[in-house]
Amino acid sequence: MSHYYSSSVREPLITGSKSYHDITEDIAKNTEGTPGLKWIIALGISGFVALIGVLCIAWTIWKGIGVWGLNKTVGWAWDITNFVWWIGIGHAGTLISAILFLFRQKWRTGVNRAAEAMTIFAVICAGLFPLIHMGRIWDAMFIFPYPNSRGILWPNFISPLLWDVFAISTYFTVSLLFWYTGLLPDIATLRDRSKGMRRWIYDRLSFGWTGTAKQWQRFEDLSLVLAGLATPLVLSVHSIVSFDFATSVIPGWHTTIFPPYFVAGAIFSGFAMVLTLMLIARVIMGLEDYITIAHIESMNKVILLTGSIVGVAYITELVIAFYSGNIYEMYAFKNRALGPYWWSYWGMMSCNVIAPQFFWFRPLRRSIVVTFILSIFINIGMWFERFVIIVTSLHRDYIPSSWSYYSPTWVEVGIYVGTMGIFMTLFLIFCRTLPVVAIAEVKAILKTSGDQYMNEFAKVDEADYKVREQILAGGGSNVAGVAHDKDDE
Amino acid sequence: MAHLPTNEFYKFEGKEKTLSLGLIVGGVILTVLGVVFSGFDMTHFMTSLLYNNLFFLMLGLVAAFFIASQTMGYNGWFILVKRLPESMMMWTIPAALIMGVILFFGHKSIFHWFEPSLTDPTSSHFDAILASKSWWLNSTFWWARTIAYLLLWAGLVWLMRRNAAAFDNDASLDPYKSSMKIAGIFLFVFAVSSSTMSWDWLMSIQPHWYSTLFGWYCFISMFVTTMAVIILMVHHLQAKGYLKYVNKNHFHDLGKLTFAFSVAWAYLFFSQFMLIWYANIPEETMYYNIRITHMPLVMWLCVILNFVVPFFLLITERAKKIKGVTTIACCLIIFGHWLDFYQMSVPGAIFNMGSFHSVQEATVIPSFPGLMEMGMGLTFGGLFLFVTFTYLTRLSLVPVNHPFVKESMTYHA
Repeated sequence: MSHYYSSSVREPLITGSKSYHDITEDIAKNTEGTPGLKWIIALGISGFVALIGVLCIAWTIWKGIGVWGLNKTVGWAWDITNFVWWIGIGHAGTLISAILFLFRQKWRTGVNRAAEAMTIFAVICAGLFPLIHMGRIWDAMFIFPYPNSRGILWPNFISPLLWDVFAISTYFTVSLLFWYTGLLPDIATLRDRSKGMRRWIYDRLSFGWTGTAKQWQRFEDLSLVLAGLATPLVLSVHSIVSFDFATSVIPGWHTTIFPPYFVAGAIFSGFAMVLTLMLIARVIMGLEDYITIAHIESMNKVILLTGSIVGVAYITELVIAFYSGNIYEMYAFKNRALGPYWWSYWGMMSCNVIAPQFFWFRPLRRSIVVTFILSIFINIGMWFERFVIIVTSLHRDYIPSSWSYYSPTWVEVGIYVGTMGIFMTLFLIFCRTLPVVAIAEVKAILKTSGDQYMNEFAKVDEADYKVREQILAGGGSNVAGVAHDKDDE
Repeated sequence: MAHLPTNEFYKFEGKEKTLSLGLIVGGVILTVLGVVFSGFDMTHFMTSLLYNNLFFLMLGLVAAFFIASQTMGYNGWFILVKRLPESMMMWTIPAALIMGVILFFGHKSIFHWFEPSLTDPTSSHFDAILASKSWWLNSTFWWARTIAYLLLWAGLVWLMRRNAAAFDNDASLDPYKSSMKIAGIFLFVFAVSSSTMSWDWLMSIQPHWYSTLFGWYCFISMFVTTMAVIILMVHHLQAKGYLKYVNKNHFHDLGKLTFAFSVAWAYLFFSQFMLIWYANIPEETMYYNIRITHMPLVMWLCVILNFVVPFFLLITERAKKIKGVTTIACCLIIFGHWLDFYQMSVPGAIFNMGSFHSVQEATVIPSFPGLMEMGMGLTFGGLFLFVTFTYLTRLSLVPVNHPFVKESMTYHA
């Protein structure tokens, strides 16, 4: 009897009695052959949307920030909202690949690759916004501290905005390394299956991976080190984003709960985005055996957990604002709920606090339709959250004469929609060129979580159950040991 | 594949009994000595009782939280050590009762906002800030919440224990299925009540001060402590020849949680401290100002014991599996978090009550816990151990009928 075992209470994570070869075939086939019509149409649409974004960005750079709807009171609006939203979306990938790796969660193997890719693409989209918000993008190098010929001009190290530059660039670098090193064995698999130019490219990309024991050992060590590095990064990036707000003395921004609450919210929105895309991708790419209902249920549990953390944080903020006795704090929250932007506050509350609570019920967590709809709601809700925090806290400042109302211009809308196009374009290219599911990692869990093996475990558990019943009926004599020592021989 | 485990029953006798009873008696003696040497101050005495009882109450409650969260997460590895938190949580019920008594006799000495003249506009003591908080901080609502926490926690813990016991007499999946439901309800109640409780019983000791992070900070502090206590208990039981199926990998995971949440504690400590320090708003900074001025040692020792020590001791996989290293780290962590609870409660109460009674009389804020606090800590610790060990004898140490028990036995990296 092998030493592989998992309880039959668990669901299989790989269905369809796959062999190792089937796994390679099923996943690799999506990168081979000519792309289908659906893919080409999808790429065409997202490429077009991305183009709109690029044109709007070019227009902003050409004309200046004046083409946006910002005013003296509301200096941050859609730009920073989008920035925080995209950064947040990236967090699911890092959580799945790093934290769930350290906690040995097997279901992560089905979705980690795609989620990590989304991390990279989301951070690319996010990074655009602070850059174009500078107005004079050609001066962007001023944010990097290096010995320079500009006299004593150094960035302001006390500013959390500068910490953000370091946090995000570190996060992007480590995520990219983690994603790419994880890809090496799979790229080698694709290389071995291809010919000609394709083979040449994959050969270069695979860094000469041949799958020797030594290479695997190094690979495992590196994964562990990168997971260890990425874990604090998951927490630090969004914490530092929250410091952009919380270090200030603006009511609604200055609150100590911001760092952990931003992190929870980021993971929440990231999982929603992973679900939105993967629910479609698993059907189109025929990956239902690798991204099963069990995977979806686990992700929905993470959504329920992080959504509830976010919900508790919203309520904490609200109660403590009124508990504080600080009239500015109180007003900030009254204004959120009942002021001119009331719709964004209630949109945020219903999408982020109420929507995930449906996942307390098992049939709903396991329903693809419900999951898909709720994931869209959460994506919208988390955008509203950032809008609420940024715009409603700013638009009525301490002096009523400077109160204002902000609405976006077509340029801002165009840039935001455009980043979705950029994200989708990158994701579609990724789906066609690299394995969307980590082939090697899925193979590693086959013997514990493949359905044909789990059926065997179920037989063992069934036998155990009978023995236990016997023990309980017989008053607890040591039947179990006797019955099963024979099996072990 | 491992064969089926058999029932294993723990015997509470000899040294453990002497130890826990000794702690209780020794603690009482120390407390009396402390009072004799440094004088009796009602505020100081009652606040010390409050935080020491709260510390061990939370230890039980967070043990229940640990089980609930692992159950909801379908975790199989922890089944073999599950009986420990399942016994630790039983202290919650007597502790809730004791808490009711402490608060009943002590609320006026601990929380200065109970003084009615503070919210009376005609009084010379009138405090406009407290008056605006009175919708939350008023006697009726506060007592209603307090009683609700105590009843809900005791009730849910009782349900969880009943469910745990059902596993010993039922080989079917029914106890497992109901454990899921109870865990869900527990987590829901805990998520809200653990935060509001910390506002009501700790944060409102200095009622002008507020921090939205406070609730989560207390929770993380207790989570680490609970993990440390579980590790020490497993070591102890193994030394006595019990829990022979628990292997290095279980210690690795328990160590990982201790390490991870020690870093999480540091993260929350930093977040709260840095944001308050950076924004520099007087009504917020006064909290840290009192502590840094009057008790810098406690303040920074917390950071060293709760972050620096576990970070460097437990960072490697090897260290998490070495008994000596984890024992030292866990002992220091438990002491560190006990110190943290001290600094969250006692200085604030003495400062506030002192300045309220007479501004002239210089308020003496002790710079370190004295014999009294330590004595109380030992007494409650002894009671906690006594209850835990007593309940540990009642059920099989190995939950043989749990559907994940074999996963936990065959656990390897």
